[in-house]
This record gives sequence, structure tokens and C-alpha cells, in this order.
Amino acid sequence: MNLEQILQKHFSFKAFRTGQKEIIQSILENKNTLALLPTGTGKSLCYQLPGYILDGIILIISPLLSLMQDQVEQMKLKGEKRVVAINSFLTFEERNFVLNNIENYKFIYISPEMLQNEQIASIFQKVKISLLVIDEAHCISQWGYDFRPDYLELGNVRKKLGNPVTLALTATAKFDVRKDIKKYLFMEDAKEYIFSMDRPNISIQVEKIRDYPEKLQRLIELVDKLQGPGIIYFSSKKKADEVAQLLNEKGLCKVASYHAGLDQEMRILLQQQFLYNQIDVMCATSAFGMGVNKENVRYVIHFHPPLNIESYLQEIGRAGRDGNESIAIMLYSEDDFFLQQQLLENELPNDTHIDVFTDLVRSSNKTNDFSRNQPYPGYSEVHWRILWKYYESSNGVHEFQSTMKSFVKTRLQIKKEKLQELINWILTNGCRRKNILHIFEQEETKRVSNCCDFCGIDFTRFKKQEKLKLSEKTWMWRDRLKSIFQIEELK
Amino acid sequence: MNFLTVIILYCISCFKGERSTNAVYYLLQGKKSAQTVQDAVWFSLKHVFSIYPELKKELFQEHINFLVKHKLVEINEKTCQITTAGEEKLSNYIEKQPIPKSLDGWNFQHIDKKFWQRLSLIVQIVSNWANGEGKFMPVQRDYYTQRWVKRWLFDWNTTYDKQTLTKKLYFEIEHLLSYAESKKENPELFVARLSGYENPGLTISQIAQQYKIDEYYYLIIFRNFLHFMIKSISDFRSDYPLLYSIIKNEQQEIVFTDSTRKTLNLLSMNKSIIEIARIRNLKVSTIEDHIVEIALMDEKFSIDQFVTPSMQDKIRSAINTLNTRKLKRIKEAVPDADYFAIRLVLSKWTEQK
Repeated sequence: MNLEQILQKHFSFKAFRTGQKEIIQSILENKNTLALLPTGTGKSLCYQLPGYILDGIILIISPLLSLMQDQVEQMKLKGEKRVVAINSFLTFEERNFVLNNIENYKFIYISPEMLQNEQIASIFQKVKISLLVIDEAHCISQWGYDFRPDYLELGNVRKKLGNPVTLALTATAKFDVRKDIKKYLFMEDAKEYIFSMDRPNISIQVEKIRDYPEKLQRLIELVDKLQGPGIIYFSSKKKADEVAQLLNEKGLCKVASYHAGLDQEMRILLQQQFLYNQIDVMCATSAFGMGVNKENVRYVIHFHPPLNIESYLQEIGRAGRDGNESIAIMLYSEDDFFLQQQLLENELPNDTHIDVFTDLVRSSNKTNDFSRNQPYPGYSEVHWRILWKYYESSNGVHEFQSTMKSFVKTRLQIKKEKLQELINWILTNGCRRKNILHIFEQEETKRVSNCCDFCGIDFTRFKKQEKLKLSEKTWMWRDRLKSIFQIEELK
Repeated sequence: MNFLTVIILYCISCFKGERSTNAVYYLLQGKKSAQTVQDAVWFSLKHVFSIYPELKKELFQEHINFLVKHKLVEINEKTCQITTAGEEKLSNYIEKQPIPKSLDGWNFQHIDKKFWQRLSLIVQIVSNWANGEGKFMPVQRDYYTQRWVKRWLFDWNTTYDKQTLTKKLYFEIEHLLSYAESKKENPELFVARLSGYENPGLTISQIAQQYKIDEYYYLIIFRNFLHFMIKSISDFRSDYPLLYSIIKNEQQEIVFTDSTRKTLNLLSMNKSIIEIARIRNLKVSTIEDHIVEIALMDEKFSIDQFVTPSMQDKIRSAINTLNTRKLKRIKEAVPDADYFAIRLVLSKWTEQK
């Protein structure tokens, strides 16, 4: 079978998208590969397809638990049963079951911290790994927007596994990040496949708005006018909820809100409602996107600017996966920049957090309410996780206190620079697309019509075709039950 | 003020100023400690035991602060008490949104969530079968639920083919929900959450919005509906073979400490308290504690062998007149009863409505 036939058989696609085939061929030629594909263009296929050719395990290291779960469910959905995610969601028994039957799995997703477990690492040393995949490989770079200290260990992990053929996937094309990836993974020889980060079918619009009420007004107007389905991104759960409610009250279309505060069952329901067009507009935080394989999203609006340009690209990349024309609109006011700055500072534990934590661990004994699993009042879950991680890997409280503080200081500095980069892009005159690509050290590949607010956008192309008829269909329970069970008539 | 505030106020009222706010929190959350179990029984709050198992302490505290700020409750050193204004507010709310009558956290908290997870996944799978679709996104991601359901379908598949199984399940559910409707329970609020083929159910907040009730009240009504279903399924199990097989191996286990279990064994060999104390080389009062624990946990356990029925009546009427659970006050009213007898009567307490 040739690659196209395998593509057809296992993924039901007729043709490869940009870059996929080159990357797959490089892997099949046993070359270490560093690849960048624009978001939303099927990078997971690059390591899933070789799984149907290579005889060993495809081991995928992925930083985000939710991302892993989604990938596993998506693969199962396509009929692949030999897939599993080894992470902290598994109970002790489940994990042992998987590890004892490791040969039964073909695609194994694992979090970096799990691989640092000696017992687990030794199991992977005994099996044949045909391909090691480092997803979100930019997390290895301290210059990246999403640095994860765990990732620095991956080079050693790779060595221990006997240097299997490795595919590193990155979401940013910057030179220093790519250099870090190759350096820390000990794969200086890697072949690079860096494709344009541009998504030519997405028009980019940035609008300056005076204040909050005006912003709401503009949003309502856009939701009323634009052809859906659409996603609106917010920087807080509360705002997402509030605005969703407001839009529903206006009765323009069906709106829901989605964020990490919802339990898993609700999140799945909302994803599915969006997929089957029962919801036209999703008000969301950045938690929404992964696992939402909806092809026909026509617009993405940013109600608040994100924290960096990489997140921005990822989020607007959820529009137009079907290749049809779509639009990304960012609404910003000058207050937003200040708010984002604060948000950013709250992401990491501050000096007081660190000092109080230190006192707590010092005086901790079995009687006080101090647990690893339950963040102390005033700490977020992220704070708590970082603090414990550093505390446990340091020699003594003093060392912890100083390394933690200097780590936070450096990270904060870099994050601020990343935010500034985004702000500069927003405030800079000139073609939006060209400017983004410049940030990523890429050139424009072709002229795009309806490019951006500087080059000009023909808004009529994104206008709602017809007013939505709101089918406020309330089911009587018997009818709904019948329809679920496909019962036509009752005898 | 939402329904969580109302429920908290309700519990505080039922505790008659003899318990702390923590006792309310543990009760709603369903802490399985001897103290919380005793509170639930003594104060006739078994129905609300464990009805908000995911309740966070901070959120609970916010509600308490709200109640204190609006002078609906007062907090003393260790206990909290509802005020007259609080009682008034409570009865207004409860009149509009009564605590649903099938709610029975005590008996079903161990199974209600499992029942829903299993049933909703089974319904989704069967619905996809009916539409000839084998691939879909499961609404339940919990590994154990998925495995359990797979096994359940496999087992029934050996008796019925897919089509028959689908039909039979439909008729059982339809029958059960019709019965629920005849008992003034509302099946709409349940069916709206079910997912089928390309037809995801509504979320909790969507349903709450649609029916214009607050989310906490919906959560209670939903739980109430599950309890109604579970109870009816086990009461009429021969009518619901499929549904009954979802819950049948999930009897609530009564877990005693080892020591209590030994006492129970000796009791069943007709040994007296004094004999047991001698055999086990323990104090009589310790054995009495064990027996109180058994009486609390096991609804079928009779206390008649320890307290004569006429003494039980005397104690009961004293408790009703005094409207208290304070042992000392009850003892003062019935001087010839000992503390052990009073505790046993309280352990079998059911409110005379």
C-alpha cells in the first residue's frame, strides 16, 4: 500500500494536507525530524499514520492532560483501539494493568513527569519504540511562551530509550526555540520541515474600542451580523458566562459558555452541541479548542487579547479548518493591556506565596490542614503544583526559596516580553499577516485577498446569509425518548 | 440567595441550635463519620445526607457568611442558630421550592451517580446502534463506567440481539417514566439530559435556564428523580430486568469497625452486654457505644431487647415535648431512663410528620 492508500483506509482522507507527506516520509526514512505546521492542519496525523507502517510502539509525550485525553478519544472514535494515555488520571490499578500489557498498545500518550518514574521508564526500555514524538516541543525552550521545566529532562529520556527516531512538533518557528529543541533533545542532526504559519483563508481584523460598554455593543453587533458558527474568547470564566447570558437574552442565536470550571460531562455535552450545530456561538476561555474538531467555524472573536502571539494564532486557527473563508476579529481597549499584565502576574506564585509556602512546609506536621492535593487558601492550583514540584526537587527549604524566586522572576520577565510582543503587533501599522510572519521570522508566501484591516477586508463576505430562525423546540419527554431510541410507532 | 443557601438554612433550622456549621457541611457533603451519621439520624436529615458531595468548603463558607450578614442565622461559640427572620425566609422559600419528596441521600448516595453515568452511556450507545453508527464521543469518560457498560452490553447481548435490547430498554424506561409522571415527578427534567445519536443532551445550566430555576435546585430535583427511579426499579424489579441489572450489585454495605463487628457477632449469639464486655475484656460503656453505632447504621436492627417499648415511648414523648437532642435535658425529663436507652431511641429516630 502506498501512503495515500493508508491515508484513505485509516483516516478516510483522499489527499494529504500541506507538509504532512514530507514529514511522514522523513520519519519513514529513519530521520529525526523537527516539524512545524500551521495550527489546525492535522499535525497528529504525521505520527499516527506511520503507526500503520512501523512495527513498534509510537510513544507520544504530551504536556497537557486534557489534550492527551482528547487525542485518545479522537483515535478511538476513528476505530483505533490500541491507544492509551498514561497520566495521573489513571488509578494505580489501571496504570499497572496498562504497563503489564504494554505490548497490546500501539499508540501510547504519556506525560513527561510519568516518564521520570523509574519503573515506567524501565518498561519502555524493554519494548521496541519505533517513533518517539515530542508534542509541543517548544515547551523545552526557556525563550518559548510555554516553558515547562519537565521538558528539559526529555533529552536524557530519549537517550535511555536508545535514541529512537524522534519527531519534535513545535508551534513556533522562531530560530532560537528551534535551536533549543535540537540541543536539549540531542538531535542536532534533525531534518527540519518548517511550513508557513500563515492561514491564508483567515482574514485578520483588529479593532480599537474605547471602553467596555462600547465593546459589548460592538460584540452584539458582530454576533448579529456575522455568519456563524463562531467562537468568542475571553480571558476570564466569569466574563464568558456573563456575555453568553447577555447574548442569549438578546435572542440573536444560541450561545453557551465553556471553560475549565465545568465538569467533564458538561464540557463533552457542550462540545457535541457545538459540533452538531445546536449551539451557534461559544463563549469560551482558552480551555476551549482542543478536541473540538469542528471544520466550519466561520469566525473567532477575541473579546480580550490573549497573552502572547502564539496563543493568538492557535486560537484563530480554530476557524476555517474546512479551508473556506473565515475571519478573526480582535477587540481591544487600552485597559485590556493593563488587565492582561495583571493576569500574567497572577499565573505564577509571587514572593509572598513562596514565603508563606516555605513557612507552611517548615511547620507542617500531621495535625494541620496542609495537603499536597488541596491548594491552601489564596493559592491557585497552578501555583500549588509549581511550588510542590520545585520544593520536592530541591535540597532543603533555603535552596527552594531562592531557586523558586529566581525561576518566577525569569519566567515573568519572559512572559511580559511575550505580551509586549503581542501589544506591539496590535499597535503597529501595516499588514497584520506580514507582521505576524515577521515575528516568526517567516516571509509572506502569497498575496491574500481580504487579508487584514490594513490591506482591506470585504465584510460582506462574512455576513450572515439569512437571519437564523431560532427553533426553540421544546421536546415533550416521550418524543425525545422516542427520537433517541429511534422508535417510530408504539404498539 | 440560591437553593444551596436555602438547604443550608434548612439544616441549621433542623439542628435546633445544637450543632455547628461544620456539621451542616459534613452532612451535605456526606462525610461517613460516626458523628455525621448520628447527626443525620438524630435530627431526621437522612434525606439530605450527601446531596452535594462536590460542595467545596470555601463556597459553603461564603453561604454561611451571607446568612450571618443578613441576620438569618447567628453563630455562637460552637453552634449556630436560625433567627426568626431566618425561619420566615426559609418557610417562604420552601413553599415555593419544596424539598422534593423522593430525595433519599441516605439510602442512595452510594449509587445515584453511578446509576446516571451507566444509564446515560448505555442510552447513548444504544441510540447510536439504532442509527447504525458505531463511532461516537462517549458522554462518560470515566474508565470504570466505560468498562462496566461494555461488560453489561456484552452480557445482555448473549440473551438479546441489539435491536431487541434497544426496544426492551426503551419500554422499560418509558414505563418507569410514565409511572414517575403518575406520581407527580417530572420526567422532562431527566430526559433533557440524555444524549443520543448526534443529539447531545442539555447541560445542567441550560436546563435550569430553560425551566427558570436555579442550578442548585435543579441538581436536587435531578437527584430526587434518580432516587425515585432507583427506588421504583428495586421495588418492582421484575418489571425492570434491564434497569435492575444496572443497580443490583450495588447494595450499600454497612461498614463497621472491627471491634463493633466482633460485638455484633457476639450479640447474634445471644450474649448480653455484660457477658460481651467480660468476654472481650472491655468496658460496658464501650460495648454500648458499639450497639448505638449498629442501631444507627442498620435500619433493621431492633432496640427492643435493650429498651422496653414503653420506655421507648416515654423517651420519645419527652424528646418531642422538649424538642431537643441534648441527652442531659432528656435525662432530666425521664429520670428512670439511662443515657444508653436515650441514645438508642435517638438512633431509631424518625420524625412523626
